[in-house]
Amino acid sequence: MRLFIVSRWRLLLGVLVLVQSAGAAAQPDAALADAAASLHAQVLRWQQMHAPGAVLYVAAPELQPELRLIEVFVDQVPAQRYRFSEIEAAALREGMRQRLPLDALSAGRHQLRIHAVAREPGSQNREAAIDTVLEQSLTLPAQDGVLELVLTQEGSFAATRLRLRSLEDADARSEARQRYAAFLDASGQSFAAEAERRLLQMQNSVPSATNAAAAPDHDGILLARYQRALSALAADESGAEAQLEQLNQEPLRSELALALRDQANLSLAYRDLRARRGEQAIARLQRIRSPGPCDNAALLALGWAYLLPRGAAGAAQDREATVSLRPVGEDAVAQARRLTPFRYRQAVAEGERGEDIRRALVPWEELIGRDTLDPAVQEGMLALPYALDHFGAHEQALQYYQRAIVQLQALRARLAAAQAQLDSGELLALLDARDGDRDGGWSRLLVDRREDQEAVPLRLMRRDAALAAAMQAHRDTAAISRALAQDAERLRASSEAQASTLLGEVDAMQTQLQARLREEDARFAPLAQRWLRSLDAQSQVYLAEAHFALARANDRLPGAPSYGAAP
Amino acid sequence: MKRLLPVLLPVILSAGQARGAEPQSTVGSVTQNNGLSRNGHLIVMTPSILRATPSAPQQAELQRAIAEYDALIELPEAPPALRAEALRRAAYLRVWLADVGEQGDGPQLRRAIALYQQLLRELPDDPANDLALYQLARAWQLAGDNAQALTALTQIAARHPQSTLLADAQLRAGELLYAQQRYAEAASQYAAIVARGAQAAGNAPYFGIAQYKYAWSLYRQNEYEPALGVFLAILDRSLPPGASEEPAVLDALAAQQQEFARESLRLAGVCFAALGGGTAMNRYFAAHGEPRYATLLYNALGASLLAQRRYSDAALVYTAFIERHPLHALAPAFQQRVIGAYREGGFGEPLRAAQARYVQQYFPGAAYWQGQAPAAAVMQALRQHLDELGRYYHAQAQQLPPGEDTARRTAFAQAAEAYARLLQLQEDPAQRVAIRLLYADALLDGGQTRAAAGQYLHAAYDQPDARAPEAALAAVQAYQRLAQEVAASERPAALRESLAAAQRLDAAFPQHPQWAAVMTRSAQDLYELHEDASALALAQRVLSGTRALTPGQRSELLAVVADAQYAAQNYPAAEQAYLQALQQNTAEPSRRREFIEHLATAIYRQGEAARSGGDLRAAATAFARVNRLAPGSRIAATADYDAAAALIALKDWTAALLMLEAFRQRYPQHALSDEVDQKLAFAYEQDQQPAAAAQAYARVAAQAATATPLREQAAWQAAQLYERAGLKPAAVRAYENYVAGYPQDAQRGLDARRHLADLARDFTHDESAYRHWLQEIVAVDAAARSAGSQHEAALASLELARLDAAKARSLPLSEPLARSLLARKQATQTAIEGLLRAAAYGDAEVSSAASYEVGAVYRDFGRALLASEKPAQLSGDAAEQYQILLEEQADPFERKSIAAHEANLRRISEGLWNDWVHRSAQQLAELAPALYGKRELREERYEALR
Repeated sequence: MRLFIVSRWRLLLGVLVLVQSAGAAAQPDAALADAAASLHAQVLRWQQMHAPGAVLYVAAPELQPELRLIEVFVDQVPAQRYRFSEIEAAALREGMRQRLPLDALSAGRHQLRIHAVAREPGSQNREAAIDTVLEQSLTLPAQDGVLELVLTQEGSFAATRLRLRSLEDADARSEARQRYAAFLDASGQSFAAEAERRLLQMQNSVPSATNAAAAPDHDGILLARYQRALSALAADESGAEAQLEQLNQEPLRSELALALRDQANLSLAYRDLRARRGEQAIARLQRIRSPGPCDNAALLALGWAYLLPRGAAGAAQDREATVSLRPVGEDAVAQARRLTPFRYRQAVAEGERGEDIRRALVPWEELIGRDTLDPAVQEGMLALPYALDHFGAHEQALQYYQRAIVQLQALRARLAAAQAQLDSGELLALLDARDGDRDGGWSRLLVDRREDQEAVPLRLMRRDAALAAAMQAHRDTAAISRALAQDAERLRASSEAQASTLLGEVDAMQTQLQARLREEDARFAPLAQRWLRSLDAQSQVYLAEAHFALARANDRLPGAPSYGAAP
Repeated sequence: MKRLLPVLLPVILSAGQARGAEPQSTVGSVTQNNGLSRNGHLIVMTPSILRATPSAPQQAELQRAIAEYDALIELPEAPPALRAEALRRAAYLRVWLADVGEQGDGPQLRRAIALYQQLLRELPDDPANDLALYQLARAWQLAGDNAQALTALTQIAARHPQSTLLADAQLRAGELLYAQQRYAEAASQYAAIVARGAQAAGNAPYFGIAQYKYAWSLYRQNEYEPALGVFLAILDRSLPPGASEEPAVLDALAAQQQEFARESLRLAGVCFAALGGGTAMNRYFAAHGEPRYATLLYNALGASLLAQRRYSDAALVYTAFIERHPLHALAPAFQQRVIGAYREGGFGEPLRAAQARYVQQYFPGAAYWQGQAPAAAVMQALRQHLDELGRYYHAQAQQLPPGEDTARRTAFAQAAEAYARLLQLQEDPAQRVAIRLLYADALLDGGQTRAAAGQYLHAAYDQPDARAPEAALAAVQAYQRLAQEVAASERPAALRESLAAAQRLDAAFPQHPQWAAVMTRSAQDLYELHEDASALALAQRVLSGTRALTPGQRSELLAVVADAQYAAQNYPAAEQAYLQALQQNTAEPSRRREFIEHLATAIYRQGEAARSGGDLRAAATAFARVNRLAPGSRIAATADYDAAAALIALKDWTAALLMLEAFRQRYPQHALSDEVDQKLAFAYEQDQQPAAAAQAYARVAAQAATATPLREQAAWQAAQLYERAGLKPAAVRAYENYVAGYPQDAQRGLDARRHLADLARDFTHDESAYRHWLQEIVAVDAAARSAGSQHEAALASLELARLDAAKARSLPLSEPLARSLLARKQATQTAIEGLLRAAAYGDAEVSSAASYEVGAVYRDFGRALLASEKPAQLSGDAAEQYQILLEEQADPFERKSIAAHEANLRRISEGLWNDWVHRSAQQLAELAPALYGKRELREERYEALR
């Protein structure tokens, strides 16, 4: 089997893109967005004046368990239900507010019943950490009542409390609105946040500073340092390694910083692998976070590091050296054997070398259960049976090769399905549906984080910078269009004189937005296709290796050498 | 509980840890537990992968490998190196399976071909493409498209001139071209391999076969000289150093080398044969030098020609070698091959000539040996050839027709010479006897009888063996033949030699199966030598002996006895002996005839003796015995005749007639037949058997060899005797024969006619014949009158006239009277004329009769007139007048009648008084009674006188 040394540059790039895209959002046409934001703010203001409705601000400051669900029943009638994503829950924990409309809550006395569910962060268990209900009667003086629901944990046993109050004070309302704007920003709804802010400005309300808006750019500095150190390392400058190693010493909290540290350790570990400094590589690889942006590459490298013969430090292996499949002549055959770790195709290691293989099996076993889109995982799917073969577990090796083939073929099927979704427009439609989910923030989060309904997760597309930018542009423009569509819906429902004027503006804006959206979609599709093709190509490479390994296992003619120029 | 503690402890610890601040999970933490994972508060055990289970390597499944390679090839983004390797292996395995027969179907081969083609398209410059082309060619070949295979193979040389597969590819290309009979192209392929030499890298395994096929390719193009050069190069390389003369040198070579060498040798021979055979070989050697294995080449050329059935040419090749190397140690072997070639080709004459040459050249003492003894094989061959030559010439001679004596003698002589030489070489006594016998046979048949006899004697008595009796007999027979061959003056000596040989046989082989035959012949020879006593004694000894004799032998011996007795004039004893011999009934017809002759002679001699002694009866008996005992003998007829003569002399007519008739029946054509008939006639006559005598006389009369007088007499006698015997028809014939055959004796001729006329009148009642013969008598007399003939003629004439008168008398006068009267008148006139003619002879008797008849005729006519039929219509006076008229008409005739009678009477005055005169007187008495009616006494007197 050939050694796969997965290009770490690809990993690096992906990680960087991921890091970079974690924070800033791409902006659509700025002028159009600005005009849309102003228009949307005007509609909001009109709505405040002419079609007010009750709202409920939800706050959960310092709540350790993450708020997951809020259900509101007004007079036994379901009035609102919202699922909070992790980011939204974190934003609430930071003092921001989510605002839920309660159109059913008119002036007068009502019986409210509010059901709240919270879970521990990262918990796989469906059992809720907090599941509480608040029942309260209240009288709203006006139709535009503003309520605030606060969840806290109090007491030595951290009991959860729900407090509901009405916000009568304009300042309180304004503050709530500001915190809501911050919430929108934190949850990636920048357009809506901007519109809120412009509304507040119209109302002469000065948005208060939020944690999220006033974060210092530590990450940017760190990123710059990292890039310089990486360049110096590539140039083999002295001190570059120390600079990168420095990241392990610094207290890093942000996701970007942690990702850069992982990347630095990975780079250094791959450098150690090439220099055949196995122990050093192992130490660096073990520091890398898992789960993390570099975890798969680290697990893969860790296995190979275990397979490096101990005490074999010395001349670095030429990174470009490849083992010929068809060495010609005895010398070439001998050299080819020397380049392979185990000399012969089914040579079985014993003693210390057997233990080395056993150690390598552990990280690879962990690796092969992960996302098969990751090339490190794909290599791991082949490295594992390769190790098993040389461990003597030939039957298991064949089974794992076959497993790898099945998984890679399934992956290709997924990519083909994704291609179909892209071609049919389903992909963007799903994206729009998630982004436009009013019933919770999970949908938006799933776009960035978890597995979802798409054949290939959209979050993976964000690894490609251009693709991520195009997708973000679409999302932003679509978000503006959705917002304006809601505005148009409200304006049409009203017979107020200004409504028709605003409606006309909204419609005109909407026309521009649709044109803009089409342009962005036209940019997005080929980028997505190219990206999918690249994934498929990558998968084909490993799939080819898997087929090749199985073929080689069965390709033994009577009297043929176990290694050499087989005809 | 204790067992559970180690399990529970990590659970407890992990649970506690879960409650506190959990550190960031890292790659190290994930792997440090050796695969343990956390599930909530529990840490679960490792999955099965960590319990890697060693197992045996799986059985290779080539179809699976192909499927995997195919799957890899279908991936458009597969790494090029892998893709190329997959293409290569997927194709190679398919071809390999097709090669071993597991997967020969078209689709898989076509797939393999497509894969190789794809590989070559995608990686046209890959250094391993030589193998791909090689395998592609193989695939094409398996698929049956040799043209494509050839294209692929030739591309190897074009694109990969340094490839280690080059020689293999060129060889395969050459083989394909060769199979398609594109020999020139194939030759170029092979030549390329050869040109690089046997030691060039990658060439060694193919050099030998390439060189070999190169030569074949040239040969196929009929480029014989270039092909020769290559074939000889192969031989130079294959054969060990030093002279290689014997084909056995090839046996020491390795298997394939041996095969090439043998084939090269054979084909070199074929090439030489095509170039002209032995002369071409010599020419080639002259130009290029004679190789150390030239002997093998000669053999190969000869073998090649033999394979082509060019037997003569093959023989010439072998002969050429001999001519070139006459003293070579293998010269006899080559001559043997010449013989073999001719034998195989069925050439009789050349074969014999070659064998003769072999004998001449390699016989012990020939110049070839230079004083040395011939090898055992040569001796064996000499014996064989001499034996064959001898038998051949012997058979040839035997088959020649008897007329070609010269050729026969020559052939027998050749056979004899061969046998003689063979005798010199043959040491085996039994063989020597057989050969000597053949030698003797050849001498005998070749006319060298004496020599043959001598050889037979050698064979019989010098080294006697089982065939000695045969030889002894042959010696006897040879001398007997010699006796027949030599001149008459030398025959006795030869016979004596034969007798001597027979005596030796008698002495040495008294139980010889042919002893009796030999002794019989000896007795005969003794007789021939006039040693009658010895012959007699020998024959009697043999006859009386205890040895069984064949009837023929006994017969011969008896003949000897008889002959001896005969020679001793002991005829009775000889007769007995001959009879005994004949009784054996075994002699050959000629010998039997001889016996019969001798027997007859012996008996005849006894008859002669008796006759000489006056004992006619004994002589007759003896003579008669000859035919009885020796019928068919030459002397039998004579003996019968003599017997008859003796009997006649004894007047034993009966016995004599029996003998004579018997002779006549036995020997109808015998020279004595005439005499026998004469004697028969005499004897019959003497024995009063006129009829038989007449017959005998008739036969005598018919004997052409008999003198005419005797024949005449016999004819007259035959007629007389026939008449006497009452055999009237035979008498008529006899008289007629006499008349016709013997005109000399006129009188007898008249008598014969007279008899014939009488017989015609009295027996056959043939009036025409009667008239004829009467007229004959008249004619004879008219031609040559004699005393007797006149009278006979007168009588005949009178009878003729009487016939006419009778005829006239028979004509009635009837109505119409004119017609009948005329006819009557004419007939009467004819009769009168005839009677007058008869009377004119002057014979008194006849004349008187004629006169009478005249008178009678006239009278009859007159009476007839008177008695004629009267017309019916007449009556009365007319009738009376008519009657008167008739009387007036009839009267003259009456007067004429009277006149005639009167004329007859007047003969009385002449002194004639006979019956006719008397009758005329009587008629006159009736007619003129007045004148002549008185009875005279003189009538009585004349009657008395008469």
